[in-house]
Amino acid sequence: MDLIQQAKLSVDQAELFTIHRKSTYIRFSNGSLDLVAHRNNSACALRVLKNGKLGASYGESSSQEGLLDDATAAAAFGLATNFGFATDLPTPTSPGYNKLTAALSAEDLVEVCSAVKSRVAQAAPGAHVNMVCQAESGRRVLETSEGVAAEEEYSRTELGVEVPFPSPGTMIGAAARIISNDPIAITDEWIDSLLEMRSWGEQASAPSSGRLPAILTPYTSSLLTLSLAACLSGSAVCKGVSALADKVGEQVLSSQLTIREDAMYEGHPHARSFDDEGVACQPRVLIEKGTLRGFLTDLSSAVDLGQPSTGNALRRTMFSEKIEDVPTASWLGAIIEPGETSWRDLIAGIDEGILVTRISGLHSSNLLQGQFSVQANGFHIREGKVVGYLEKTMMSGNIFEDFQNIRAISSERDPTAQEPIAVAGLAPYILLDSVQLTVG
Amino acid sequence: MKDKLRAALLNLDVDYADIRFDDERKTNITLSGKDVEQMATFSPRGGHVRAYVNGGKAIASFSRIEDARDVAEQTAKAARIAAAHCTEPIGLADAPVIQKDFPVVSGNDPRGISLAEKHRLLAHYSEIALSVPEVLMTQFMYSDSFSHRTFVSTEGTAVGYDHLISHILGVIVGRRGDAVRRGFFAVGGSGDYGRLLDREELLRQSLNELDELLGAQPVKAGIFPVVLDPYGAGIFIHEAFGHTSEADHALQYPMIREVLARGNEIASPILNVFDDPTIPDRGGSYPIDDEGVVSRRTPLITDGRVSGRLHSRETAAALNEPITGNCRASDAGFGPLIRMSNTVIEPGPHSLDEMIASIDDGFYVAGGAGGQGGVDFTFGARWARRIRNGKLEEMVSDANLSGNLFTTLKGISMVGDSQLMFEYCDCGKGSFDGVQMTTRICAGAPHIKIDAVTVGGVS
Repeated sequence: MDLIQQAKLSVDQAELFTIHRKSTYIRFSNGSLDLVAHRNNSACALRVLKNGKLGASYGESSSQEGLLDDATAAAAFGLATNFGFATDLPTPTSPGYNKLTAALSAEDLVEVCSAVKSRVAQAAPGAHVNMVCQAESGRRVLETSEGVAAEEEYSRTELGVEVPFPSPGTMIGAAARIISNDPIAITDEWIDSLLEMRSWGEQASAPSSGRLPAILTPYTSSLLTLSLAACLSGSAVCKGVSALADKVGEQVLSSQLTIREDAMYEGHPHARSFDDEGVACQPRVLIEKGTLRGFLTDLSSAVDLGQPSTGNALRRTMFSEKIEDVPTASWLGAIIEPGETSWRDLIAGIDEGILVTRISGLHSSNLLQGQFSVQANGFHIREGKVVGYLEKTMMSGNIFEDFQNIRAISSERDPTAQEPIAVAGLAPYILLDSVQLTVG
Repeated sequence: MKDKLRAALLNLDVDYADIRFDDERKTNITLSGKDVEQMATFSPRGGHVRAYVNGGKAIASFSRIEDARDVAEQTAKAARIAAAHCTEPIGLADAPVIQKDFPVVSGNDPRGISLAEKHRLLAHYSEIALSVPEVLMTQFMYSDSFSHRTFVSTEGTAVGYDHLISHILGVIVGRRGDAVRRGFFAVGGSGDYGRLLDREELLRQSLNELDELLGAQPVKAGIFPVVLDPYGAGIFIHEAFGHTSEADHALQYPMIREVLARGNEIASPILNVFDDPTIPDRGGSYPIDDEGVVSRRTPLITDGRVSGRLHSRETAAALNEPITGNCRASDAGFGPLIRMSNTVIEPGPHSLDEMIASIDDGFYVAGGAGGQGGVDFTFGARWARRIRNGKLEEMVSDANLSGNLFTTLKGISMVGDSQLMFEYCDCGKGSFDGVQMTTRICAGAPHIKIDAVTVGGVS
């Protein structure tokens, strides 16, 4: 008898989430292949409701002994919950799966990295190059005692290349990434762009403290989307701690910004058709030309808000992605609509400003209020040209003020990964009219 | 278990291989307000293999012990692929063969406490916080973990060792008008359940700080002298210097290797820093690491000069430096990485009053709202207080600090005379299978004064 059938005999409701993961990863440090890694494992989470109380247990597979007993024992101490497990069967479509990606071997990944290494060595002899390349595939399975039995496959590749700047005492460099559901394809343009960025890092250049224009790259769009994730979370809205709690229908960001939640978007590297509670993902606009249209909910916060779940439950925290992470409402695909200007024209149009390629410390900020105070890495721009890399530059403000005045949004977009202190989706370059910089 | 692991490695065609299997028992309880968000006791298991062939290295993780032999053979094969493309062969520094067990000993073992009692304790702390009218949201998390690990290598090392840790972390969100601020409560960080009991006074102190913070104005951005409290100083030394001292970074970033060469003067001469997993009963305490190296104290900065860095056997061989026993995995199925243990700034000669009195225009900063590390570091303050003309004045909110490691280390002009060890730390470090988060880590520090730090805030 399978675990859900067995659970039906002793608890009111049950939900079993299982994930099987298989990955191959290689790493080049300083140009030399120093690691080949494989992972092939699975994990499952059982949640039960008994007498209206919630309990959970976790293991490596549903056949592990004691799962139901542990979950039932935990439920005995739980307070009453306000929700039941998913009842409507989603239609799994595996939107993020490519069988060619799932079949990639370590040798295939070595070939990709060797090509990059050789191209970098040709253009910049003596440059150090660090690379990671990964192919992951797997299967997510969600069953509930209420009739849901959903299963879908996914695949993903990632290539990250970093060419450290030559200055002593630096741990930064030119960096570029490719994240995709498909096998990695390197283009000349991509390599040229990486090498151009390295050439920008020949020397440091400090902007003056004060308010200056800033271009956020797609990778640093998490400055906006992570804070929005906290504020749009149904749970924070219900408890009255979100800055957006009573703002539906109001203009909260620049009218140039439209942001959709779309976990099934083509090209989205974490595409999926159902969430981690078995609810079908529902593409919709959350920020329409700067106006707030709705929130992100899971089963629990949906009940608190008096509406059906939007299918945004995710088993992860800001830093971890463990099976025991409690499902909470989150972006599954934050898709920021593009503008009409090329990112190079954004740079060319700035008298003095910065191009932000990496931020650190965002998690320490008061995200529920939209405040941010982060270390900005990237480049200093003067008279439309990059003049050096940033050092000791802190950028601070509030997204609900600084993202009201957007000069332009790029026509190009890149995928963003579901990883610590970041949100999965698709983002353009965003040029803020000005942001507060403090330069040490 | 040792026999099963030996069988997995038997006659494997490698220069070296090891295998580790973790059998863990965890309890997590999360109260969101009065509601139980999570109540779970569970048993994650998993294993990890490393194989080295002709200078190439491969690793693999797996879930079921029955798969250990197949995984070991595949990993040996993958190491050959690595060897074919490896231009800098990987070796391992010598380490003594250990055949011994290291069982955990706790006077007040959380495994002996019922789930009901743990829940009751958490609910008690949560109720105290919720009794404050302006507190809108609380999240109190109890966690304990007992991990039994078995490690076997082809060199003959065969050890069993345990980790036991319990802690409570509370996040308290209050609102007054439009101001929403957070308070924190963290206790535990060892295998002693007793450390979690009778901590109401610390919680009330956090609630008083939150009350004052709700009336505080956001900090104005600028560059100021600051006094960091022991939490702030501990986070600084962990995030900025500790991570940079992990020798895998030195291999990836040759420019760091040069700056952090032994004997280089990198800090003010009053600064002394070490990493020591042998300090008893702290989050980062352990008898042996996850590649079978017995733990030891490692000096990192002595009188302002670089005196060591943290190693795995691989990095010790590559840099021709002594092994330190800092190669650890956070959880079942993860491979070991170089991690700090208990990283500590030694006390110095100055009183807190002297430090405050020495500042005309600056801040006293209470750290503890997270940070991110490296040469360019940043961390968030729980709260900060203005210092004017040598006196502590009003509290300010939303202070984040950032700076460059090397200029900041040289800017440390005073070191306090009493030290505090953290009860709760967590730390993430990237690995091939995601970020390894661990709470088995600790920092300790006295107050320190830094002459110039960038404080992020409003215009």
